[in-house]
Amino acid sequence: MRIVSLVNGSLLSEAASLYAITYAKSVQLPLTLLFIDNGLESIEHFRLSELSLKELAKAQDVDIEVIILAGDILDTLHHFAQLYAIDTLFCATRKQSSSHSFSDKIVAARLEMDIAVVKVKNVSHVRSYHRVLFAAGSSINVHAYMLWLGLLKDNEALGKLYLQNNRSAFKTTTTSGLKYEAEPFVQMAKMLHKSVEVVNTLQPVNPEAMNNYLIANNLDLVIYDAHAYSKRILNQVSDESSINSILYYSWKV
Amino acid sequence: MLFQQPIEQVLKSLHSSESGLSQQEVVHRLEAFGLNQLKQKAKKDYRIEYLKEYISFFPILLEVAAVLALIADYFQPGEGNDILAYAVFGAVVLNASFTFWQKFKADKAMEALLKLVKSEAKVIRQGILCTVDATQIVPGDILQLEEGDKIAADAILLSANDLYLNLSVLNGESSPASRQLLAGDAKRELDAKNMVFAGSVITNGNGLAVVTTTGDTTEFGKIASMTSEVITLETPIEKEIKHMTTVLTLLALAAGLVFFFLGWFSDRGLLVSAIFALSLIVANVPEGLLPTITLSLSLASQRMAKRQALIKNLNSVQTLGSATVICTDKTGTLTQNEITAHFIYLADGSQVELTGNGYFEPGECQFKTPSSKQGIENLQQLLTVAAVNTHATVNHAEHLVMGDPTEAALVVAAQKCKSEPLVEWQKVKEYAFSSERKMMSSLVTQGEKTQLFVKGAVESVLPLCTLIQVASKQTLTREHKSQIEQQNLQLAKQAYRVLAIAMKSGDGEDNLVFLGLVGMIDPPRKDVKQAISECYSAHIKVMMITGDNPITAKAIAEKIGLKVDEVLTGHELDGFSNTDLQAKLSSKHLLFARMASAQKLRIAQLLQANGEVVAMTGDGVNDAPALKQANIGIAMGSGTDVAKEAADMILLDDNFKSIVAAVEEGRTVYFNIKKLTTYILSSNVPEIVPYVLQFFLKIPMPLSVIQILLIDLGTDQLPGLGLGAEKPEKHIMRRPPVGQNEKILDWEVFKRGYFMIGLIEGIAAMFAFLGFLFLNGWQYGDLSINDEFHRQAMTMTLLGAITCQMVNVFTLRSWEDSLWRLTRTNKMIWFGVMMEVVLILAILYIPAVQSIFNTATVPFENLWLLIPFPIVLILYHEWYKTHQKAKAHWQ
Repeated sequence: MRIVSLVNGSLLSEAASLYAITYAKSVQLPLTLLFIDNGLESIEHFRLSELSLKELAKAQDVDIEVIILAGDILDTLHHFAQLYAIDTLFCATRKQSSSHSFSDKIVAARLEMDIAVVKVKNVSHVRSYHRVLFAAGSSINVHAYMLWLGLLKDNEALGKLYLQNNRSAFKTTTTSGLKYEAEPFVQMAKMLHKSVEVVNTLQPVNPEAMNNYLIANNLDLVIYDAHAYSKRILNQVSDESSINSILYYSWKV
Repeated sequence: MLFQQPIEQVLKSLHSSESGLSQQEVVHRLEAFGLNQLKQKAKKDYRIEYLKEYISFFPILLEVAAVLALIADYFQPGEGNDILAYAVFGAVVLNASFTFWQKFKADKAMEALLKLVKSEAKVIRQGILCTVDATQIVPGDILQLEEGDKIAADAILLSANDLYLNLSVLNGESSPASRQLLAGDAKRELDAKNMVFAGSVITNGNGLAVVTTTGDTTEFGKIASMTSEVITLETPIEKEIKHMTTVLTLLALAAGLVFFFLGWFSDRGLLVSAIFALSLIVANVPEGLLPTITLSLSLASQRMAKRQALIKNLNSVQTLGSATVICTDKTGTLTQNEITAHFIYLADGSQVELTGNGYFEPGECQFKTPSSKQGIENLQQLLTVAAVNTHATVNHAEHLVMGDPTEAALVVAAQKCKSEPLVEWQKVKEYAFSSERKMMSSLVTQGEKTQLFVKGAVESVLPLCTLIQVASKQTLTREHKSQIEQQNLQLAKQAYRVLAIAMKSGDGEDNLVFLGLVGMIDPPRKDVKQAISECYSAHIKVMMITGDNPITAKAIAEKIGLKVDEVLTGHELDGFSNTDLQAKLSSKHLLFARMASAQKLRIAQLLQANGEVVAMTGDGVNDAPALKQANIGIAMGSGTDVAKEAADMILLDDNFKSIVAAVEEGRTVYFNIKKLTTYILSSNVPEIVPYVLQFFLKIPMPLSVIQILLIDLGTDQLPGLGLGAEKPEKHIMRRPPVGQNEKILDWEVFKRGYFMIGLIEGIAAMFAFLGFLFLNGWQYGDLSINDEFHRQAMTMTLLGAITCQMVNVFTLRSWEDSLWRLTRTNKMIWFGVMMEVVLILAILYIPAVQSIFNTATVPFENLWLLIPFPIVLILYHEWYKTHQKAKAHWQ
């Protein structure tokens, strides 16, 4: 298994790869920097990013390999996924969601891997972060949880687990139900010596309130279990937020 | 964090370099990170806003009435119900269009105001320094920072030369914060000394910085985006309009239903009863009330703009009239925000007063103690030393001040006392000011002379002095020191910021010669004392909330006549529970010092919990939540866009006096609306009475529905508007604020409008109608609407109501004063009445108009029937006002 980061040499893809390095380190998997030359990307820019990322990976004892392929990005990714066992693919996306965003196409392609779409808003919060929130919805996806815990593990970061009745105000989940859902995951974090704060709310998702919560609590990164929220809400929350986010799409829900 | 990394690493992480980004990369980054601007509020869809004007309770009622009239016309054509339907539809469209237009205009005025401030930034791109629109800044851009610049984005410093920032928009602290290349032990960006932040202003120095974040991601953007969480309260006028429309509509519906069933059960038939009920509903609904109130509010907001208070939301105008507490900033609002040197204590014991406030008001130096030639020389020397040792420049021609305000005050003082030209001194070295040293020195040369000029806090400079400049240089003794310290203490107690001035020949900050002390103050605004006294007579509490220290705040409060029972600091405030603080707020006149902007929100909430109507001033981005929370948020014209966006009113001149003027206008608006509501309700009775009498007495119809609409939407409109534009009454600022539970449509208005004036008008209308019929040989029985004689009689009813309203509008101009005591004129009322006369002539003599309004020419000899009741009306008003005056305790 390997962690793959799709790099095109841009500031955003390099920033997304920093999260990939941290995660690869925590799960002790090698990291592949994948550049697909589709005629639009610049190999020179990629080379600059590669140098910088290799340096950082080396400093963190992460095995790194670079693969350069040519062709249509989606087809190449499909082919690549069939050849190699991929745990998680990291890819960066632009600030605003749109139906034509490349990350949307990758997600829609149903590749046999988990996909972490990284929305970088604040480049200066990528290298180190102090507070990471996992917006899990009403039940916790183990794969998304692992990413969150992995990103917390070697950082001195505080973890917040945000459980929410995200469907509607009428279809309520009880607070004790949410607590019960969270308990084994909290225990698991404790076993790794990470203390985790659990926030339970029965309010349905309100993007504005969510963003205010993120700002008021000085969070640096939010991981959303993308399957727990509607696409509209997810786009709204992550577009309007001033905080870096990772939208996590697990292969098998 | 990135700010903790070495500069090379920061640039590498941002894919940038000291020569900046390429244009192509900027385009990519604009796509990736968006424009450098705060999240724009979703633009209003004005088509939807316009349609909304048709779907509130009031218009829906009229729309249903119009549809019913059309249905009635379908079953019984030729009865004029179609005209009624179109007239009611017309009234709805007119009403909706007018109200929408007023709101649209207010929105556009606000947009125009916000567009006035367009900021630019200097960036280095591809090695070239260029000026770009601040929205085009992207992460990785290299900003060039210069004194006076407003910073466009959050950035990490690459170089800094004596750089100071004013961060008050972020943390409310007005004293400049020094910047350096090392982050210090900061854990978060806001504490990092090597970072500069969007929205802050460079007060001194220059430097280069690489942009890390833009737009909403900046610290400024984060705080700004949080303000939307505060719930905006409904304004009293919104509640009032809701209350009025509900009461009047229910009344109209109830009356309509009662007469519908009465008619139906008395064999008038379903259709006839329905049409009759419909007419009664139309008669009862004051169609002209809403547009008149809207226009009255709009006129008030225009008057307020002339008095430097720009109202963003028309409905907030009246809230001002209810304000019971004004929470105000000190700097710039109560004071001039222009530090001025007012007092100089010379080393020889002489005391000098400097006249003229602010940077540009002329002034001179006046010795308070006997002066000598030596004394004058010592004064000039002191001011030269003080002014040369600054970075400030004051340009009188362009009214422009650059640099630290305290330093600018020293330059101005030197100009007032005609000290020697500052340019003759060449600065060769500087020992910069820091918050630890609290002093600053400049090594200067003039020809062969090399001297060190020093200024700073007394506790920093005095210990370094060994000599004192009296007639000649003498040793600084312990007695000298204690005298200087005593003088310093005395000045501090009077809110003076005190600087010690010293010098020496040669370099090194030791063995200095003490020259004297300069006492500076941000002087109160000229009319503020009077304005505060007006607030107290108007039963309004004034609370100063300032970031300054308690001594300065209290001294200023004393100078401006502010009542202070207790001074609370921000730290003390945090120690109080909500209950304790609420009790203090209700029982005492408090002054809040060393307050952070965020604490204002708590004060506003607790005051509101005490039942107060709070007007709150603010200018920084941190003030925005409190401005939103307050019943009326007042932003300073010089404040941030975020504060202006959150506020209900913008003070164009930042002056407290303008708030008081706005309160006066707010109260005036309340009473004007009360007057015009009474006026409009009065004419409802002569519209209803004829129907009721016709129903019970089975007499011919005295007034048609189209004639009712002519009164409501025609003749009543302009004079009603004139009432809405009445100037403040004499005692308006002596009465208590309008209570939150006080209704415009209270029992007094109801009684006066419906049962007193209305009844007189109703009798007047019926007197004219029946009088005309009897005088012209009418035999009891019904008449056709097409009968000339019937139309003449209906015209008399119409004229009976209109003539009474013509008198009514003049007598209602004052709620308290006799008609004969009114000295001020109201051109709009005169114009309205003249238009009424024109309309009367038209319905009397122009056939085309007559055919629309079912009127006819009335013989002149019958017109005397219109005279008696207007006289009765005047007498009634005079009696009522005298009676009321005896009850009013504030006069």
